[in-house]
Amino acid sequence: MRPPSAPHALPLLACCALAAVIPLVPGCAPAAKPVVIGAKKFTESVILAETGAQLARHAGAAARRDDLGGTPALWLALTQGDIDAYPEYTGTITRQILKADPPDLAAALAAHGVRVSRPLGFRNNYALGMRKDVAAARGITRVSDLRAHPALRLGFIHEFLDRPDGWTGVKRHYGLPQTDVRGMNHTLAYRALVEGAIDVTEVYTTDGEIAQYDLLVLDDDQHFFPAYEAVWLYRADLGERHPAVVDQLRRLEGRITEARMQRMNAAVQADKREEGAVAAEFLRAELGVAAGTSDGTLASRVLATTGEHLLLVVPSLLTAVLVAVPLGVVAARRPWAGRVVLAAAGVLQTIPSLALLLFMIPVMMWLVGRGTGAPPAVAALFLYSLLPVVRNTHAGLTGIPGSLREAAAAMGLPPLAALWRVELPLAAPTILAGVRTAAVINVGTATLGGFIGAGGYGRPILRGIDKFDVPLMLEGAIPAAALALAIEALFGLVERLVARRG
Amino acid sequence: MFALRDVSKGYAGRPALGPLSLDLPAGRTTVLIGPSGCGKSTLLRLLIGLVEPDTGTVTFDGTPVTPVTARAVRLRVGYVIQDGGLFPHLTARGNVTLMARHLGRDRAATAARVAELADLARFPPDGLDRYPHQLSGGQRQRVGLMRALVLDPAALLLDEPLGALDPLVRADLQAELRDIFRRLGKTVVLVTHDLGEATFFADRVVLLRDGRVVQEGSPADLWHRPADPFVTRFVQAQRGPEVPA
Repeated sequence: MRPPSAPHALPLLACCALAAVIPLVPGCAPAAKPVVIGAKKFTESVILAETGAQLARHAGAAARRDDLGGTPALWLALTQGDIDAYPEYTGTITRQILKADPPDLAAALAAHGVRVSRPLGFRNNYALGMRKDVAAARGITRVSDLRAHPALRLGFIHEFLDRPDGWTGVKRHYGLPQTDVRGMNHTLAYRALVEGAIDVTEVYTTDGEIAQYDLLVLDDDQHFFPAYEAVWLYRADLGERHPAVVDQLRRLEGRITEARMQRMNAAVQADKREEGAVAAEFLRAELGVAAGTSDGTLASRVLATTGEHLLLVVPSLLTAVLVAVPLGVVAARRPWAGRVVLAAAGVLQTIPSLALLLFMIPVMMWLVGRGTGAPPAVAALFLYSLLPVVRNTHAGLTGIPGSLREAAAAMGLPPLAALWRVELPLAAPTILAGVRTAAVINVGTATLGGFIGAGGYGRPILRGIDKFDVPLMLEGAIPAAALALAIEALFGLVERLVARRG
Repeated sequence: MFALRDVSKGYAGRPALGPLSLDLPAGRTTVLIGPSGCGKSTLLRLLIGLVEPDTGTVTFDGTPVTPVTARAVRLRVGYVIQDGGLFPHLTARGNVTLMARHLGRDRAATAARVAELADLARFPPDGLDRYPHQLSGGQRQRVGLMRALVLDPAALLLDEPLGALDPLVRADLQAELRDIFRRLGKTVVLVTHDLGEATFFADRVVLLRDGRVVQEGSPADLWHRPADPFVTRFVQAQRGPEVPA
């Protein structure tokens, strides 16, 4: 039997993959745009967004929750229309979003095409927290007591470190002397505090952990922290498109007490329950609403994240191959261009993957008008997949013996035909090895897409880290590893087929 | 068939060939011979434009060989290199028919041509679907010859075609090749460093040294009428076996 020669096998493979993917790409399939409720990456925000999504469904709309990250990402997504609503806090609106304290908050937000609901009932103020025994040993009960203890070790989330209503503000307001200040994930900061690795962290007054770990909340004796009342922010046009959804969201106004929110947070953080289930329970008890949760079964969740992950990996890898192989050819043909191309691809690879991912947010915002979700992740993964393929294409082509290239030229084959009929097939095993490397790197790096709401295996992994929920982390980590192994095996098979012609 | 006028070629500032003028007559077998680095392979590459001359002109059948005409010239000239220069990803048949397929030649005619060439080169038909690494050195060389002849070229260039073969296979193939050359009556230019092989094939021998023609004539001329002491030395350096009595 004659094995298929590579110039026919490669495009065939690409076409099959493309044909399989196109119907899955968002935007290619015709569907009404669902209502999207955004959430920041912490438990309370996710629970509130989940109640919002369930209420929207109760109002008869298709709705989903999208976990996007920090305040700037949510605000951008809301004003751009990627999401329709999200839960926010009044203090954050004035200090971080508007950077002003207007007398009429609603009017100031309306200028951005955004409406605000009345407060949902509870406050979630920033505060500084310590272990009770550590605080007692030093006689600390109030924030101003911290002035006398410059050696204390502080750990805050990165956002708090930089916010004017965060550490920089407290430090100035109280004249605090501490210099050992580290940025870390909120959940990890709690672990570090409990285990004695840091002494002070910022807490939210509704955090379930305050009760769970029996922490001391320091008294804000000089009144620095503003009030953070929970409200809905929603797009002005949501009221026109889905008036019933707005009505349902506003049913929560004044309905959630601080104690209630703390219990819901603790149910997720301490008891490892699903946010959707906790939200559904609250809605049933408080409003008599029974709506489906977004949680689903384990199998359906893994299937969904696998689909999302492949939507990041396959398009980025395919476009990378389509761009990198011609680049590698040019690099092999023109030595000076080769040096430039290989150096540029090498520099791309040295950028930390998370930094590249975040850098793609404004770039894709500018290019395709969508700065969150899949587009920036696909763009970053595309750039990341270039180097292995470019380098191997270059190596495969320059590694062809000169006598064979001369034989092709001496026959009278024009350069393009020589490339297509002789050089690329000879370099195919090396190029395939490069694609294989790129694919495995791609699958691993795509998990970082969870940071910017791109979905995929990164979503359960990051939520798992936030909740310190190991099974949830594994729900993303194990399929990610399995997918990498499956891709390895698939390419191993293809490589053996191609290499059979020895 | 081929004519070189005042041709010279250097690499990285060092002269490799010429300046020289040379005519390679049609229908005859000319052998280029000389020690390593004498420029004989460069001369062969010049003939089909694989190498461009620094000065002078090369013509094939009256047409100057330039980057523009080189491809047309190559389609009319077959080229065989040491060990066949076969493409490892193609079968013997794939190698032989590559150019015919690229040019979109009729498939039945090409298949008939392959059968004809296999017969001429005494290549076993069942070997046609094997890959080069599954063939012996002599078989690879036969495939290389078939590949060079598939478009029925006007001239055939061979660069050390038998260099990589062991002596017995080499002797057999020499005899067969000479037979084929005589039967085809094509213009043949063959490069070798072996004087025995040169005299076996040649109607005319061109002896090169340091990029210049030292002597040009029949094999007998080199033996009996050496142009200078180098020719004498070169001829005598090719010794036969010394068998003790």
